[in-house]
Amino acid sequence: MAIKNNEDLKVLNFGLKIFEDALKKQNVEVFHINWKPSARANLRLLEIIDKLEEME
Amino acid sequence: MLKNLIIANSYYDSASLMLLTNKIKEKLNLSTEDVAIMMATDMNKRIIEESNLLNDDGREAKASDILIALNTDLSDNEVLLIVNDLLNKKDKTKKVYNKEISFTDDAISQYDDTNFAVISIPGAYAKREVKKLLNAGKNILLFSDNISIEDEIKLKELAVSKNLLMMGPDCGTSIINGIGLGFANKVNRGNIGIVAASGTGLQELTCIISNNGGGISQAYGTGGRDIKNAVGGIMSLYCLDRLIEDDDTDIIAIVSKPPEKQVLNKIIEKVRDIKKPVLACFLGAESSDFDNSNIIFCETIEELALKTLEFSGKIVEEKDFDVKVDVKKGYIRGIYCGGTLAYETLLMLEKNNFEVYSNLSKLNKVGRKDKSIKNTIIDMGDDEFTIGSPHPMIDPSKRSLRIMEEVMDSDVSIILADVCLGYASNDNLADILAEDIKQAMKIRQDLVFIVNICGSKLDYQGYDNKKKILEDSGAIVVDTNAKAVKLAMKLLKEKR
Repeated sequence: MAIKNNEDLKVLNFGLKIFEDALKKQNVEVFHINWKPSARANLRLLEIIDKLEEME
Repeated sequence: MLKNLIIANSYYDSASLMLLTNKIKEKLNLSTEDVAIMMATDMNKRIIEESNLLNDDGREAKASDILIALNTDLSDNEVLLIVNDLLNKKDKTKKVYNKEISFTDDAISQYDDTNFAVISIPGAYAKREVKKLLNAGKNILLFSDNISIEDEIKLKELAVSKNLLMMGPDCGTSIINGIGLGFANKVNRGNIGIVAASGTGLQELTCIISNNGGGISQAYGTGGRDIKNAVGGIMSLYCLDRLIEDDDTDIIAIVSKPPEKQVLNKIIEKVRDIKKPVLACFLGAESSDFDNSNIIFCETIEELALKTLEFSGKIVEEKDFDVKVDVKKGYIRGIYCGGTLAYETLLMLEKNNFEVYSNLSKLNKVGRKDKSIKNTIIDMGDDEFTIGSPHPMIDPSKRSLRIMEEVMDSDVSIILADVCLGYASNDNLADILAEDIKQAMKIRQDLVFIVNICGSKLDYQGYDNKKKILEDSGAIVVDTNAKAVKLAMKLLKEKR
């Protein structure tokens, strides 16, 4: 659904904390996620899983 | 002695590893060229190889490993002990800060009423996470780069099918419902809607509009590659549709490099029959490309802002420069944090028959390790200049060093620089530049510094205060980049 003009932003922040701080300065509700790749991710394996998912 | 040490299966984000690199550099008294600590992705290994810091041990490292590459006489154990010590210290602070969520699925289920996600994780992982977030109905600002064109297309098509924004990859700026995402400024709200495939272009445009009494309804970033034929302008066209349909938007402005032909044609057709005025600054395009369209073509971002303001009923009088300054005959050097501003300067100088060199130039290329030649414009935020260090809008120390290099060149008479205010930028960019200028003036009283503040009068850093700090250092301060370049050319032409 497209965000409406009068809708408040509620934001998930993945990665650099400066972007969370920037939103906090504007009193935006923001949740910083201390993101890590899942299960000691093997990138090649993840790419194969992606391909399989796309084939389904 | 070159060492490549590996910490297997351990993930840290690039910001933490940059911090670690700086600490190791300080602790072991190494120069920037002597140390690189990164996740061992193929891209990062290439960067380390280019810096002559990769050996066979490093080549074997996997993307999920931390690679520590450095020149040192310490033993492997000694280095690893220091690294572990610093990493563990970092870990402790992280634990205090973040209590729980590390995975996207958990974030989606715990915060299911969120409507946006800002993503700056490594590009190699970003696609999977963005896909999950789009499927969960989140709009996206994707700051990460190193994402393939194929993935970009898939993500954008998915977003459009769900009526969601997917701004990026490599998109650092947008303003949605009055809120700045990424590097954005606090500007008035109003009736001007913007689509931009250019970060500092969007900032400069929104700031000039706001500072002169206009306001912004929405300012969408698309990521620079959106206007390539391969991507087909998917997000630009979607955002234009939103602005066309938006009741709060009366005027539409577009800023970017020139779109490739097929995309340009699609944009021209998209806006051909709409009632709202459409203005565009496609930096470097020919005005004749728009002869048979209803797009009003503008050569500079300043011109775009001022014409857009005219349509909203605000006429801004262009004042003549009355700066009295003695400048000696010589060259211009522009040392920029903002890529689009640097590019605009390059184009303006070329158009006025200045011989210009730049890292952004295809013909007259100047690389990271090259000295400036004649008139030179450097985008310090370009990838090759930011290897292993943050963007100059976050940490301008490399910009300061480059400015001092230019100061030492007696053929230089004018230095152009920018200060970008706003969210996510370093609060002290103006103060640091002012110190650079004071140092420079001690050595070269004959130099002229012209500084453009790319900032809004409403920015929390305090526009007027920063302007005064810069003026007190001896700089001429202007409020648009085009003005800075025009002034530099005028001063030098009088000497020709």
